[in-house]
Amino acid sequence: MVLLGGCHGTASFQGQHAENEKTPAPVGGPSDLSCVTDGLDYAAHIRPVLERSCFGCHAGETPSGRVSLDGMITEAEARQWTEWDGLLGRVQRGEMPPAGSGQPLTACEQEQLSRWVLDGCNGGGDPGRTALQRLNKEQLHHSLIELLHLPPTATPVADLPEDPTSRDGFNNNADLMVMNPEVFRALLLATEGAVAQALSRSDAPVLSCAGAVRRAATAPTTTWDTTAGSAPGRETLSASGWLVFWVEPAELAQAGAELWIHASGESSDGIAPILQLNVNDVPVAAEVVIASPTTKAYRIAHPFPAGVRTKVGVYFKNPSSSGDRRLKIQAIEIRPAESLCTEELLQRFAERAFRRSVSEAEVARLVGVVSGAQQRGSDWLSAVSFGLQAALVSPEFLYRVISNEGAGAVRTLDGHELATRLSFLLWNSAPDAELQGLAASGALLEEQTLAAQVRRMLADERAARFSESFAGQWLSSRRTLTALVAPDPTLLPDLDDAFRAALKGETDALFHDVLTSDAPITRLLDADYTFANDQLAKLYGLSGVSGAALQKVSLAGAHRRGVLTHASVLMGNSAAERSSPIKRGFWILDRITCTPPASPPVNIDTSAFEQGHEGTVRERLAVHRQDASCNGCHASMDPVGLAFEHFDAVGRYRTTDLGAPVDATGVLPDGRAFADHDELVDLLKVDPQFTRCVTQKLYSWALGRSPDAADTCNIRKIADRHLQTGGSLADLVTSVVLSDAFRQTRTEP
Amino acid sequence: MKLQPLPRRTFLRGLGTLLALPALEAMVPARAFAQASSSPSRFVAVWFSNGVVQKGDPDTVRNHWGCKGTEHDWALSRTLQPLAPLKSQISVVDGLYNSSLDNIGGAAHWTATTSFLAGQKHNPSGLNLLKPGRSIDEEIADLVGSGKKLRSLHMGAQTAASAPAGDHRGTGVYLSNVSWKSQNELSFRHESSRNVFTALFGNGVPHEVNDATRLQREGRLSILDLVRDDATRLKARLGASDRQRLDQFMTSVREVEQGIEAETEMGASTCVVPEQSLYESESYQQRVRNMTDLMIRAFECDLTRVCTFMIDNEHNYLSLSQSVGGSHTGKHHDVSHYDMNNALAAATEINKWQVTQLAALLTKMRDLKDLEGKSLLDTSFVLYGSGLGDGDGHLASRTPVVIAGSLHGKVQQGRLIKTNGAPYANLLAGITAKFGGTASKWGDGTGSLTF
Repeated sequence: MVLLGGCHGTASFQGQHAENEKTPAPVGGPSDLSCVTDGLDYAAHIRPVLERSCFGCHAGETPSGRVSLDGMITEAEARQWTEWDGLLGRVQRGEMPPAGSGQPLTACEQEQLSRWVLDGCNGGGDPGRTALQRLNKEQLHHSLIELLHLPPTATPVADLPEDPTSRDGFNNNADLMVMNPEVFRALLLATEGAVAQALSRSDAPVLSCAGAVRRAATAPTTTWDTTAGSAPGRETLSASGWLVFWVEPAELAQAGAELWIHASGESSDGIAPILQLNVNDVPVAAEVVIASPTTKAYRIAHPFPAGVRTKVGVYFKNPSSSGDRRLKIQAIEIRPAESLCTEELLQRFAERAFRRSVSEAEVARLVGVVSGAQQRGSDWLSAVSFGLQAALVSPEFLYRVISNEGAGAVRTLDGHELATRLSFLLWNSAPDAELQGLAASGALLEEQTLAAQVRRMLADERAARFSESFAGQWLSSRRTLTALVAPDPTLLPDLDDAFRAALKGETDALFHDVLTSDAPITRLLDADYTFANDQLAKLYGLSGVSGAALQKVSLAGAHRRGVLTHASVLMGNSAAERSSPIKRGFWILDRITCTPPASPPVNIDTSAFEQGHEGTVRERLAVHRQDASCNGCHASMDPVGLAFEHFDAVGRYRTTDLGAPVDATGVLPDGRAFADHDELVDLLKVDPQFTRCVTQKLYSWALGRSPDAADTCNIRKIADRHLQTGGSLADLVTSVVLSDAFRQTRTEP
Repeated sequence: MKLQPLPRRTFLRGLGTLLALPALEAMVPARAFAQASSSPSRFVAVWFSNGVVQKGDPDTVRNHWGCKGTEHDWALSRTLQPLAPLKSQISVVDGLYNSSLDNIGGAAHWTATTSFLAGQKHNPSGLNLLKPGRSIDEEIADLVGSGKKLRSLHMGAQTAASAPAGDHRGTGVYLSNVSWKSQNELSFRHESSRNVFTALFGNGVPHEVNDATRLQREGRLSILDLVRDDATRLKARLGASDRQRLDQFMTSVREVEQGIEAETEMGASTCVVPEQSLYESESYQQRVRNMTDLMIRAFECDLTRVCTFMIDNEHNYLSLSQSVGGSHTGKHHDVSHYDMNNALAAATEINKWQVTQLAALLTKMRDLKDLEGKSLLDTSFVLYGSGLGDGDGHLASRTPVVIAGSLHGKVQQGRLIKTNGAPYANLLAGITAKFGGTASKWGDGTGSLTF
């Protein structure tokens, strides 16, 4: 079976030939009545042609370019292969079979091959299936911060191992997101820490409880009674005097209500102030030592009668005559009985954590964790923290569950499943309340509502996570933050962390700008503006930019356009001290046209290099193109990379290299010539393969899987429609979301 | 050696952190010491990336790795000079052929790692080995038994995040892992010595037993009960392959639970815990040293008996300034293609730096003794290697291998072992045989190499 990508990964720069592809060769084509184009079968019509024209090289144990075609015998086997699109493109462009290596296909045979490949994409299509997907580190990070209302600077999962990257370059691939004891142990500790951090706030929102009444010390209904002394301040008790709160009958609807006091204490000698309480002017037995300098909730046990107006007085009791101490009251809170709150807050928390409605039984089991801990002697707050944590290490939170309902069939995702898929696509986090609501009502399943939600979510600031994550991986901008980008310091002495952040930020910002300004995807390649700070502007030779913040600037006259001329790409694909056309060429074929060449073989004959070699990179590259086994791939990679020779190892523009004028000219395998990177960009941006490649990357990211044969058809459909109708990057994202593959799933038999 | 037992109280006072772990030599009562008759056997595999400088005959202009001589009369090559003080305790295995690299097209670096211990090719479309099997460290862990804390320990000094991401050749994960538990399951690898420390000397549960820690432990166990229950219920809603994924989850829950339970049962004997602050933040060079250090500590206390350690990731793109240091600016992988990039001297230098790290490890293993008073090196077998022969040409021939340690006298060292093109994987079967394994071949191998 053939699995590997081909060596003949020539980028399909077919700009001006794009029309030809839609209306294939007329001579001997469909008008030729002897050419059968209906009911084509692989074994009968396709394989014999391949056998004659391709098997000479692409068969046997050591097939050329690792593309072996002879293993596929039947129609069913052939349909499993994911590379038919690429093969068809190469045949149509005349790259395959190469001159003198195999008999070219006749027009009829080309048409048959084209029809047969597209036939595989007809019919309803297969939405495919994504394996049970575990949240990755970034998704856990955002989810925990949102669920627990942690500060945005919190790093709850810093100790989790990094996620593996798929062959598409993404860290959200379901097949790779494995679980093992070490990851689970790290999750257990991380969630424990995150819950503790959340509950360290006295007004932790996760603890809020319906029917609880919170009264700030500064509220007008709170009075300061100074009959026993002078008033040092409204809420700060440091002398005799007390705060008086009135609790109204309606606020004590049920018996068993509790009083929580949110207070902090300070002292000059380590002896903490003491809080004492009167209810209806009668002292309550317990005194509370307020030792925390930050506000904490102190629970006072007192059996309040229901429905009675009650006076609460808070006193400061000085435990020592020397030293200085202050007791600060932030608020008092009357809460329903613990048991009522426990159930309510766990239900609310589980619905958000599990991203769906939860059953009574599920809530009861979480409550069981809390009551169990209380029975063992934990106080309520600690016990609740176990309950919250239990939801966070549950597989219902850690995995994005798509049930196998309707086993064996294709089914539409339910509202919650769809909301979750969408939310992790655009926000890298769980759905918000609006999405949850539309999921629960089923409205999200309607096409218009779904499309409108995509627009709303892209306009939300959380969409910046999509740009950072998706572009950061697809366009490799994240790499600039790692040791993988390490130019010779003499070339760029000021490459510090801030500069690296700007390198990354530039590419992410352009992507986000294209995404949110309804610009076409080609803008990524030809934008005549960029986002630069002072350091980047200096590198690019732009004037008038100051400050460390990125700002939108024109690139007029700067010899730069689009992401391919970003320093993140140019520096990220260079050797330490010189540019690397091979790395740049490889990167463009891999990321921009999705036609990666194979990497160098095992047992390379390197003798051509052993003489030593000086001169420009272009001259040195010429050495290996003399070798036929090298030239097969480098003929497509090198010209693309050499087009960027106007940029040195750190992406600085230059007109000479080693004293000689830069030569960035090149010819693509199909014969089209270009003068420099600027002309190459013009060829690339009209290449339909660029649109297909962007679609493929979005699709892989959205579904968390590497495309298989059926996915390749789905991708082709979405991309080709986009090519016909035109539209923006945001439109293309919307098309992916509205596709069957995104809204449906194939279940397991 | 006469043992003078230390009063345990004195001991406790003198050290900041103590864990319920195996005893230090001096604390073992004489009788117990006499009863512990044999040291365990240990296995260490040390990986380095991107092959070596090895074209043509040994000690010629492009061969700085190969050694000249005969089995018992040989000289260390210039790359291997750092091992000179240990020459009688190591051997160089010469002339192996890594047949796993045959017919894989261009993904030499991706299969270099899977061939190292599993003797296998990688699978470009997934995360598994191409054929059923596992790596020999797993087999050896079965043979030598678990340490008191871990069945095996896996470390990598270069983070996976700084490895090239995945591409069509396969996921980047291949570049940063050498141990497979099974065809489909990677061993977990630690990437900071802080995490290694936690794995060896603590799992987040304080050892002092008081009400607070008891409640915390019991709370954790009750959470795990619920989670397992959730997983069981969830399984009913899933298809077959997703149920398998959830089994992976449930196994993980169970292992963590056993860890928490074992924590309460640990005996009273103690083992010195190194100062955790040593391992908080570290440069790449420091991390290589720290991980070496922690590996030795683990062996001293018998916390584990099997360890794999990747000095760096395959296809390593780190700047040489981070490893060799000095004014080097080239990146390791670029430099390893020394003819294409005019970097012959730097390529040899990085190879030599890597060998220096091995020499540091072996020196410590030679000089330190385990609880039974045996030299760690004499009770261990150490495999040092890389999947590629010559790095510039991605050569499958002459896989660079150094072995060390006598493994309780079962391996005679100090030799230049010539193998005349035997499949590299045959060495793997041969190694398991030294530990008492019975596999007649391993991975892509054709037999078992006797040495």
